[in-house]
Amino acid sequence: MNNRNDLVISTDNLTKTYDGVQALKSLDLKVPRNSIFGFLGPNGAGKSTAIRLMLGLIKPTSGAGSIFGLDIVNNSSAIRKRIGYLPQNPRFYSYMTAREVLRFTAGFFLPEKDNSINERVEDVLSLTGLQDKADRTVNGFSGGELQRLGIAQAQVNNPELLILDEPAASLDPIGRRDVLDVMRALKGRTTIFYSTHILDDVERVSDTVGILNRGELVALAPIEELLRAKSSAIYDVLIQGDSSRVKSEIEAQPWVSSVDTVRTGGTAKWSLTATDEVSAEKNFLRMLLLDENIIVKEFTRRRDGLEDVFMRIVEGGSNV
Amino acid sequence: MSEKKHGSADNGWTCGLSNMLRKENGIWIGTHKWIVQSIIWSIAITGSVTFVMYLITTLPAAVQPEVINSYGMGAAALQFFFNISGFVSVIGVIILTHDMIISERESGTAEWVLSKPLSRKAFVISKLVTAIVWITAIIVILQGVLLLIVARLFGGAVDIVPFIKGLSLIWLICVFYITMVIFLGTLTTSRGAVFGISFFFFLLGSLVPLLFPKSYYLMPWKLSDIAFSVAMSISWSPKVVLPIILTVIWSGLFIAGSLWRIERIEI
Repeated sequence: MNNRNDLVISTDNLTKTYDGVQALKSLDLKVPRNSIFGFLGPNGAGKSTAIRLMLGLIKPTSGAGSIFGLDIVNNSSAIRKRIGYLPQNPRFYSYMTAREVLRFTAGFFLPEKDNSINERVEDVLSLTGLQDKADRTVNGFSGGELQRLGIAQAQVNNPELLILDEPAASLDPIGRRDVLDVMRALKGRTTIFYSTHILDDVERVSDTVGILNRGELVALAPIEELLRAKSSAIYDVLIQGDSSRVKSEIEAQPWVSSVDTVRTGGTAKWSLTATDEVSAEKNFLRMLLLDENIIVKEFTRRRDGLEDVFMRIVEGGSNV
Repeated sequence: MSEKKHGSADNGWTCGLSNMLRKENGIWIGTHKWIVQSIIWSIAITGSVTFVMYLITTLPAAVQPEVINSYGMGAAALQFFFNISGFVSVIGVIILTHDMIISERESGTAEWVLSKPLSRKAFVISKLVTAIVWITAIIVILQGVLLLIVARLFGGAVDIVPFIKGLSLIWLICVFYITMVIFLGTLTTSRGAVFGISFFFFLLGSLVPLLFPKSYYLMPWKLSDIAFSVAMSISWSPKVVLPIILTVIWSGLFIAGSLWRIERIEI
């Protein structure tokens, strides 16, 4: 797949067990450099556990992992110097102002007297639209403002890798759009690894996705590849006339899984699910057109979205 | 990003320490906590001594404590100060430090700062150092200075050098409890447990030496009595050195335990 040098995150059989329960099972994750990697999974799937292992906040029960080629257990400080992290529920010292939070964060990466600290703080305040709230104490911040500040502090060191745990979870639609814009703006310059359950966002900005279910990685692929591999062949057809004979013929074909029909007056709407996409493409429309008793008013191939694929993988337990 | 922007070269235990120390000091200075705490503990310690001294001066000479008749008002001030300070300073230490680690773990700020280039040892050391510095300043040095003023106001004389030696034992008691409370904070996330265990241990000092007299040498329970003797330049037996040495050793063990334990906590 990828050359190891092209990978920012690489884990091998990374496993975490709590009191005999495996929160993460043999995770083999490969995140390419400069990608926007969407890490998906239902609640409790183990996404945050995986992120905490990468950051050295918890230690693996077994297996190994590396970020920038450095071991996540033994080189944690060196790794964290090159990372920006937004926790799932960002919490800061409530007596500090937003500007003080950012200066404090920058202090871990730059010497106190470094002139570039002020410049960086202003940059990220502007990036996240917090300039007018910069001198307010964090105590009075709303959930959305805290999330913006969380993104600002994660960006203050110009990280090579940005790890965001549910970055858009508590944002309104405008806030969500802004976060996606920030991620798009960073594309190509920074690797972004983010967990989310908002599948629409993933489809809009990610180039690679990993799906975690019950602690297991059940899919890992570029998003287009995943959609191609896991999409079902579903055809929607609108027919006028007596379609009972042709329906019986089509239902008897080995490449047909099911035909759902909704009748309205003299028209019938079919939704055909095929088990063999190639046979369906070759035969379905031809069979319909050969029947002189009907008129085909509409014929469309429905495309599955990531949500359909996600639900199928998570509920069906299939792997990619 | 340039190597310079990866921060200082250290990846060891000092990683992030100076930044955390600035932040911890900022809690005291930036929020005026130092003023509030100075007022509270001055009232609790020196205020109490002053009140007792005032009451005594209103008593007839015949019923005044023996220490006044034998050694004068300065000695009386010292005795009350070390008795009260030995009790109140421990309460102060427990109140001020019992949730230093726990509050950060509970609120999620520990997860946040430890995701930055900050070593876990530096996280604990910054809290230890700041607590020791500010408690020394407010509960030990400030109260010592105020006591000298109060003793002078009541016409008593205090020898400075022996008094400083005695005061250093109060400091040692404070350090012992600071290290113990911080160590407990790395073991549990229950504020009640940390507060309760620390306070219970302190109260045991009134009971255990009565049942097991030798425990007097093993723990800091009688250090405030020793402090008074030292401040009065009363000759002291080599036996009193043992609890001083053991208190230093206990404090060192608590620090080592905290640093060992913090590396193993799952944040």
